[in-house]
Amino acid sequence: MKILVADRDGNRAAALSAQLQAQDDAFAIILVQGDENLLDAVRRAAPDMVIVDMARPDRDGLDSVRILSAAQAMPVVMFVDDDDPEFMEAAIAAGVSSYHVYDVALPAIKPVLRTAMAFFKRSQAMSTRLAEAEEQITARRMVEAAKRLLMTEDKMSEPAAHRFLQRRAMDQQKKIVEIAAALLQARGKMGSGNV
Amino acid sequence: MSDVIRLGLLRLCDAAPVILADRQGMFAAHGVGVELCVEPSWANIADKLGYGLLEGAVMLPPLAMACAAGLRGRKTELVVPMSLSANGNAVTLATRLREGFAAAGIAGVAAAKKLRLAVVHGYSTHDLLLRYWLAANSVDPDRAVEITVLPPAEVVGSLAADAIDGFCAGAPWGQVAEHAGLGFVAVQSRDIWRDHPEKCLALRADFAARDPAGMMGLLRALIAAGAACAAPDGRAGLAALLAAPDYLDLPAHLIEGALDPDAGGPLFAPQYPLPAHGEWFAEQMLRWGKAPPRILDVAAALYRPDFFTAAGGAAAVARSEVFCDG
Repeated sequence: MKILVADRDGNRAAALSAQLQAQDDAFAIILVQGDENLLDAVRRAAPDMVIVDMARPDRDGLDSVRILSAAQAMPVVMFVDDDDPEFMEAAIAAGVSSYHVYDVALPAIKPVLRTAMAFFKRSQAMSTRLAEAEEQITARRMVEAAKRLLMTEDKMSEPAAHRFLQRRAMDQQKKIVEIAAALLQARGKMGSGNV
Repeated sequence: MSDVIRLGLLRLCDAAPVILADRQGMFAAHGVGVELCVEPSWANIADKLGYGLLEGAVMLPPLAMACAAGLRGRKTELVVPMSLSANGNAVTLATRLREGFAAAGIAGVAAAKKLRLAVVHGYSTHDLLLRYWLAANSVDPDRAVEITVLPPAEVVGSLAADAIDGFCAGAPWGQVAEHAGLGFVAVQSRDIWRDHPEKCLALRADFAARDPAGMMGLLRALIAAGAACAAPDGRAGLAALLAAPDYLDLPAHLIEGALDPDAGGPLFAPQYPLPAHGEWFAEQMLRWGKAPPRILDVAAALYRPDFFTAAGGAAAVARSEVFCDG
């Protein structure tokens, strides 16, 4: 079975194709090249199945391959599995979609798509963790900046400044970072470089 | 308050009513929570509608019909309770074709070279209007030219790279190509079919049945937003809003020009979902072999002016019958 992998994330595409290759010798994996248009890649590779990163804007081209190629007798049918909408929903939520070009049996498609879903989910989780980590660093810096402000402008000791922020957070039922941000904002220190 | 309604849209000028309603709190003012989901492709919108990851979307009427008929992906019961815009597309050709076009029209240009023309989707108003115009000028859209599919944001780059000879896309892409000196507008879509319907609101039929109050709030908010978008004095503000990196990420002055309905830009009124509009698209899909005859019944069931009137929408105006071939 010829599988075209259309993923603009080159590392993920390479890892996914290695995994699929290891899964079954009969799989021939073809990657869409750099800037190549998806529709052109499908014409070039004539695959049995296409695994697509849903973030690709040129995926619209695949919706009309059947129409465009009617003269060339190359049927492209979107992967529709009405028996298992939850499976497709999960695939779409993971950011991956598939098309089968010839009549590939569903049992053959599912393990391929499942592997792709695992890779896409993992990269989603990684970017979420990265964003969370960045958010935590920003939050810590914000609290530190607010404490420094209280220490220099209000002559508080470090423990007193910390207690001040904590007490306010408790009184107002807010997070300490929100109190810190409000304080910096009120004193015109937001984004002044000391955050 | 109903559950949050997820609405899909693409980065285009005619998504203005939903963007404005969101940014100005019109959804909240009408008692509905709406989450806008900016999607990279029509295929994403169609698939997410199909698998219930969106309740509704700013949609191309022919694509809504294709989804409802099961012609692409999963068969999805939809309703079209309102239209969101009219006009706004343009057929743009590469600058090198300008003299030939001025001398001999599209027929002359197409006779000299088999043109490669891009549209945004195989089931789109752009495709059907382009085909109508070509055929009206005795150019066979299936044989005399090659029609391909490209994302709107990529048509200008493809024109620059000589990968295509022209395209039919919505505002502001024709203006962007012209501004860059890469192309010229050969015909505005309003001059192919005067005041043709363009984007519509498509909702999952099960959402409409499950949450009629939510749907009414949504429609009322979008009726108010459409009126605000149609007001000429609001155009500069609207352009500034659409120019933001979250949406079109283009210069505001360029978008302001593209929003001018007198220059072929989108019209945001009237919004009545006229079943006769659906009928025209269905007939054209049949004409070009893009759909089986049952598409006529699918189109008839899809349009729901009763929902629009129930939400206080203005009464119907007759379908425009002004076409480029008279």
